[in-house]
Amino acid sequence: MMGSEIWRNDENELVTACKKGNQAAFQFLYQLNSGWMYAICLRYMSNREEAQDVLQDSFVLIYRKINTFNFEGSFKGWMRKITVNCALSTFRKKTPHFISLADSAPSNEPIDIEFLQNLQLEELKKLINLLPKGRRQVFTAYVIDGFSHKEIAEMLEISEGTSKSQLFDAKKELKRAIENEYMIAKK
Amino acid sequence: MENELNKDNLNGALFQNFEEEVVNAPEIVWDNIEKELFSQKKKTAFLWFSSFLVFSLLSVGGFFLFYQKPSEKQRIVKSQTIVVSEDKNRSNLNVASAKNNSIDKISKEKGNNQINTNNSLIQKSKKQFSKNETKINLEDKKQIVNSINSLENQKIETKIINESQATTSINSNRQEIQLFRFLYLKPIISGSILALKTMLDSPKSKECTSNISLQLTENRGINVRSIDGQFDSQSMKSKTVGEKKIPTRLRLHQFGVNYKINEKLDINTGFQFGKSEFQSRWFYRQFYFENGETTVELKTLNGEATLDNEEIVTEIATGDTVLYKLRANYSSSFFSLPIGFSYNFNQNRLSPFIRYAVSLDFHQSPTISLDIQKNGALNNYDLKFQNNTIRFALQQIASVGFDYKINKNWSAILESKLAIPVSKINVGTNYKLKSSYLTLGLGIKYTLPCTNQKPKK
Repeated sequence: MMGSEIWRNDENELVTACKKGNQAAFQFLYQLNSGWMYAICLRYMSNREEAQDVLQDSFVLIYRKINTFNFEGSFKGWMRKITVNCALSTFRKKTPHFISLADSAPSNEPIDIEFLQNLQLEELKKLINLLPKGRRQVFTAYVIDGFSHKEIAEMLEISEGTSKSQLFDAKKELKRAIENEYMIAKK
Repeated sequence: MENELNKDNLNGALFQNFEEEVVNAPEIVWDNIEKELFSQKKKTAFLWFSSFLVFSLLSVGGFFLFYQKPSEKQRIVKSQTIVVSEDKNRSNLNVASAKNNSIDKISKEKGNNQINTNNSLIQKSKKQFSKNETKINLEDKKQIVNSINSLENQKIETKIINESQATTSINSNRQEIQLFRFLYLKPIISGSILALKTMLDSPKSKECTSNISLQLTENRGINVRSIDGQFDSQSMKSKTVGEKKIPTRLRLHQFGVNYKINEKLDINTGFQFGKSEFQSRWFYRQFYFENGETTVELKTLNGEATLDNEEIVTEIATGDTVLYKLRANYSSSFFSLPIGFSYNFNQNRLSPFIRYAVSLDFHQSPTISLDIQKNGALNNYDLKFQNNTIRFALQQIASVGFDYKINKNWSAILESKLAIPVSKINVGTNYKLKSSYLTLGLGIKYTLPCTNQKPKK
């Protein structure tokens, strides 16, 4: 079997080859994973150029840190975490005062977002893109990529409370946006 | 992650939707990644290896250029003198014998025009001898003797040239053999190989944020200087001043540059400036002149020096006061270029480390003065050094210490160093100086921000 065939069927072999510094293996890893990783980058960044930068940084970081991956847990999950971390770090560096501009007190009032399940992917993306910077990143990291408030707080260098309040505001705005959309459609 | 999703009653539905989303990335992204990861690695490894190689070559070359045993120098000079004097003696003998009875032998010599011209004269004299002619022209006699002398001189000159060429070739061969025998090259060669191997084997180590760090350390300790060779510091009648072995206080200022090869291994280089001072105990010494000397010639810890103070010289010359109570004040400094490796045992905030380095030391001209006590009065006299040039030596430095990370860029360093000589310092005729030191230093290290620039998109 050719090397790429083995790597396609056995992820551990591919990771081991990358750990040894095999350039071909790393290129194969890029080909296999760049698609979904680029989609993540696009969700967090405001344009394609920024998303490409984040994708490049993520792969460079994966290459340099791959030795620290010890096959505990999913490799894809590990790569996802690096990508989101890269995206949020880049976002934080480019928009250092985003939180102070749109901060509000966290609320205990629960907001049900089951309504989002009924939307098409494209519609959902369009709605999320309408959210202000900061809220959009917190919402995406928490609701779509499944990070905890603690993890988001660390990545964005904000407090957990701020992360919660940003999420609360994001949900409220999304709900309002959908209601408005629904009203317009009804009329 | 799943728990967090459940909190919002999504049951992973949204996550599922986005999980399957794939967008093809433009080709330029991979080109940039390739450029950043793989060309940078080769370039950095090449740069470091070439600098290391140049430094090693300079160190070794400098060492062999400037360091030569005095016995070796004397042997070369001596052997050349012997060759010349032997040839002169031999030539004198030859001339004498030729003058007496070797007209036939000389007539066989072939060669230049002068010889041919002389041959005719020789033939003429031969005929005169064979015919038992009693009267030989006086002028002819003189010419014969002159021609014999010139022929012999030519032979002698040729022999001297041949012999000295042979001597030079033997000496150069001897030096080449010593170069290959030299065991101290071992750490430098093995260090170079280790550095190259580690650099090429560890592409993962090129962390963008922490490759180069600068270090400033202030060290205090003891510099032990001891003489190896003839140095009679015990006898009252001696030409030495100071003691055979002295512990001096050392202040060592160090500036270092560290390059991170991987998480635990660093290459270190930089420079150090050290200064040590010493005052000997009081001792008694009887100074004297050798035949033909007009100044007091002394052996010191840092080479041969003279005391040319007029008063002292007169006193010794007239024999008024010859036993002096004195002490020596000594100050010396050196500049060194170390290169080595350090190994950090962990990546914690407090990390112990060990370091090994080889350093090329440049010992600057020292100052020694003598305090001489006479009739209750104390006078100070400076010594003049006969050979006041900078001297070279190789040292091995082993150290152990702790690195405490204050924040992302700054660390505090506590380090203890032991330096032992690889080569002795050639200070005077028949004696050399060994210098070793033990220090404790406190310093600060600053890690530079990222140096690997991302290629432009």
